[in-house]
Amino acid sequence: MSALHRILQWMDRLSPAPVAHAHCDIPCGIYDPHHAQLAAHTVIRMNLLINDLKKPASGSKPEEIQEYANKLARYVATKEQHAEIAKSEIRILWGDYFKPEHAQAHPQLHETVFKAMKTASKARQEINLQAAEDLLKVTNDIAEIFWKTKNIPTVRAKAPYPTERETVYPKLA
Amino acid sequence: MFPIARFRVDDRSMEPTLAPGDFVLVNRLSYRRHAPSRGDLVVVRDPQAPLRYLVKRVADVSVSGAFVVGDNQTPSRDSRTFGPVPKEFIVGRVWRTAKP
Repeated sequence: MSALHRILQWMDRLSPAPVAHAHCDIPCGIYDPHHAQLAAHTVIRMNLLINDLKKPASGSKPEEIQEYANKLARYVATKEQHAEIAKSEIRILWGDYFKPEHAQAHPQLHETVFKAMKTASKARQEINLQAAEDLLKVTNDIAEIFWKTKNIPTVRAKAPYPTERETVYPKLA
Repeated sequence: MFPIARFRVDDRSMEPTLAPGDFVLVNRLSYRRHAPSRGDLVVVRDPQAPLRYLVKRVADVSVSGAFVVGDNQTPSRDSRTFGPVPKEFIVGRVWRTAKP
C-alpha cells in the first residue's frame, strides 16, 4: 500500500473526501433498498451492544479499561460506518432510481428521503437507540415506496437478525 | 481557497488509470493561467448534475469547454453524452493519484 494512499485513507476516515465518479451510468437498473435497511439494522445492533457494554468501574485494571475502550471504539466505528452506508444507499435510490413520476405518485418521497438523511446523521453522531430505530423506520418507508413503484407487494416481518425489528420485505412470487 | 482538493474515485470508467478506491489530489489553481491541455486528467462537475464530480481525461479543448472522456470508453458516460464541459465546471487538474 502506498504511503500517500495510507495517509489519504486515514484522512478519509476523519473527513470523507467527495467522490469523483468515473461513472458508467449505464444505467444498470439494479437497485434495492435492502442495503439501506440492513445498514439500519447494524446501527441498531451497535447501539444495543454499546448499551450492554459494562463500563469499567473506578479502580479497574488498565487491561480492563483497554478492553472496554477497544470494544467501544469498534462498535462506534461500525455504527458510524453503517449510518453512512444507509445514507449513501438511500441517495443512490433517490438520485438514480426514483423518477419524477414516482415522486408524483408518492408525494411523501422527497420529505421521507430528507428525513432519512437527518435521522441517519443523528444516528451516526450519537449513541442513540431511538435515532437508530427511527432510521430503520424511515428506510422501511422508502422500501415500501420502492417496491410499490415496481408493483411488487410487500410484507412487514420480524427480521431474522439479533435486532429482530420489523422490516419491509418484497413478496416475490 | 486551499489549492489542493481530495477525491475518492468510484466506478470503473477510468480503468486502468484509476480504479475504485484510489484517491486523487486535484490542483484547483491549475487552470487559472492557462486552459486545459489534451491528455490532462481532470475532475469536473457533471454538467447534467452539478453536485456530482467526475474524473475524466481531456480529449480536446474548444471555446465551448473541454471535451472529456473516460480511459475505459465503453462504460463511460462523458462528453460524448453531455458535450464539452464549460470552464467553470472544471474543478482542476489531477496532481497526484494514490493507489492502495
